Amino acid sequence: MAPTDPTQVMDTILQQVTTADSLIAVANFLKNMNPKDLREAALASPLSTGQDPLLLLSIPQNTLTVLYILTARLGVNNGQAAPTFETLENFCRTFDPEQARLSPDRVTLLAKGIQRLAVSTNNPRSAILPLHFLVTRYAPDPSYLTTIHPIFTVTCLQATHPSAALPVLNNPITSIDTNLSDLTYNDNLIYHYTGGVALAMLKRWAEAEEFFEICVSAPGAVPAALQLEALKKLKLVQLIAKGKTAPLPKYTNQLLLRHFKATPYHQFVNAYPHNVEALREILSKERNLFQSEKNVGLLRQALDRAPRWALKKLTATYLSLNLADIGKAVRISDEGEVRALLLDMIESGDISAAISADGSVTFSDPPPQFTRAQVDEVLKNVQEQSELLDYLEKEMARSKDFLSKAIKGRDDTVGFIGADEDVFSQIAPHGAGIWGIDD
Amino acid sequence: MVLAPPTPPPLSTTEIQDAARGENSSSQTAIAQETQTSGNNGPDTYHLRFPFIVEAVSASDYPKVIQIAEEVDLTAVGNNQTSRLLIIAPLVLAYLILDQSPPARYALARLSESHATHPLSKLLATLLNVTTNRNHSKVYATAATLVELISQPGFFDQDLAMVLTKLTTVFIERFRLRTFELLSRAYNSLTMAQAENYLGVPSETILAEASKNGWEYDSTSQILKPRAFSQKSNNTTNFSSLSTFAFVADSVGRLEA
Repeated sequence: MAPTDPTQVMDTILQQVTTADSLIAVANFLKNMNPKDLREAALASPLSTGQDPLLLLSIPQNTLTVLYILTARLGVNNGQAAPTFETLENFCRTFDPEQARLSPDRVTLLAKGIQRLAVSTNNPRSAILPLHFLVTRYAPDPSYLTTIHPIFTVTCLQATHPSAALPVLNNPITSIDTNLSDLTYNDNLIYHYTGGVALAMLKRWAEAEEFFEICVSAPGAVPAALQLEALKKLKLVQLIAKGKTAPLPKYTNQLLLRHFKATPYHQFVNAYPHNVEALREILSKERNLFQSEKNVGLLRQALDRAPRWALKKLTATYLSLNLADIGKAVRISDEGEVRALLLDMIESGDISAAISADGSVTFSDPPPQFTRAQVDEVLKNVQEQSELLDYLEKEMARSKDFLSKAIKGRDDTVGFIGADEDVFSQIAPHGAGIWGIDD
Repeated sequence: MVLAPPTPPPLSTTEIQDAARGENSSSQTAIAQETQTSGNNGPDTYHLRFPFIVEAVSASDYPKVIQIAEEVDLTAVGNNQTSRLLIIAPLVLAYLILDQSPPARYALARLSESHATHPLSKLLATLLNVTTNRNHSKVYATAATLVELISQPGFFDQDLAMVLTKLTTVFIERFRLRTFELLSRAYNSLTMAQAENYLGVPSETILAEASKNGWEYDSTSQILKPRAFSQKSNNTTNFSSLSTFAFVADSVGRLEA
């Protein structure tokens, strides 16, 4: 008769995992153990001798087993106490990624468990380092999206620590592998939305805009509520950074834009930047809505920056103006404020101008400021991006889905929406173009 | 488990302050009581790691100060010890030295309510605000007040006082230099009174610095004429001539491929 005492079952588990032939055997054994609740209770228990099994296991060599034990302890209420953050951090620093990849669902459970533990102890900050190590060490390279990514960024926001997310956010996501991580559609949305929020908190507007755009334009049959929230933030970030909004990618779900137009954010965008009274009125009238959606901060920043776009427009028309005239044009009565605005815009590089003691301001074209090293760096970056794009294009061109759609499209003589015309045009009459064979 | 979109965190100063006020508050009496009792428990992580921050400050390695302080803030247990200010206060000033206001703001926002109302924290928050808003005269005044506070004999940690004095001095120097460079770019001519307001030093000091940088001064009208601040161009690049050759050859090779 199979033992039912969790500690005895744990003895059996330890004996099996330390004598198994291969890691695959260990993974299969742990995954297929039944009943599941007994398995979890056993993994969360000490050995029958009372000893902690973690003391007998090496994290790098027995990653899988330690992973199962830690997740069981994080998930089970009775039995061993929840692991300490020191233990969790130590695991995340030293685990063997190749072993962990044999059980991606368990890695997801670990990440969620770490986050939950931190929130329950009212200290989300303590989850950041373990999750950082987990997210940076698990995937083969940082371009892969995993289920850990959104959990990590959400934790950084919960801890009011957006800068902790930067090392991860700085690596753009270009690879998805559902064998590596049990990803869902929402993981991509949440990661890029929360990443955009963290970057906006740090006033890194260009990067925030990119993240929000990725969230907004993620393809789907129907738009997600999160995408609409991302769209609102995207528009506000664009107003703050550039004074105007930019068109969305053509593959964005059109329903999203329709929903957006029904919101007061659309009115705000339309009135921006010249009609400052209307902007204030919208902000005041819809304050409750904006507050509930936590966009008041972005709206206020956009409103504060409205005069600078009006001033910037003047530089296209005038060679020089005096402070009083500039004040009238941007509707700021105090000359000191106008001077401060000019100084701020010159400092941030938005305009190139020189103020004189008599109050006149002369506008000029900004002088080019780059070094040879910067040019070389940009060129190197472009070459790398070009190679990556070439590789991704070839990978896509040989995928089964693409080939079947391309041939169907050619047979129907109907171009499909969003088709990359350059790739499509490479397809010669017998598909030879795909294989790079010239006719 | 994350099932729904997360509530976005506060992004503006007002929202951050509102969120911080929403936490349970404890009074400064609690801080004093805690300060009295903390000595009974021995040094905590903040005390143990503080010497590394002192070392980095002595070496004028401010990115290192930030790195150490951020790591300690993530790993240390406990939010309510006053000793947390040993880490957060240098962190905020190091960010200000590097002119990075947003992460400094969030470092202060992470303080508990009791620490946020500490006079040191309040002054740092004021300094952060006036620096972000480029209210030049208030920057110098607030920094002076800060130095005055930490120089008092009753300040809770003398080692911290020394570190903060150095950091504040460096911050003011760098802020003044950045302002001077900006004035060189942004002004064809400005009055001495304006320059004093921007730079927070008397006219004699301004004249000495101005003449070093090629500015002109008309004593009759008391008008200064800046010369465009030429950054000392670093003609040495990271690329040696052989590296550049290799780069060019590689680029040509890729084009031919």
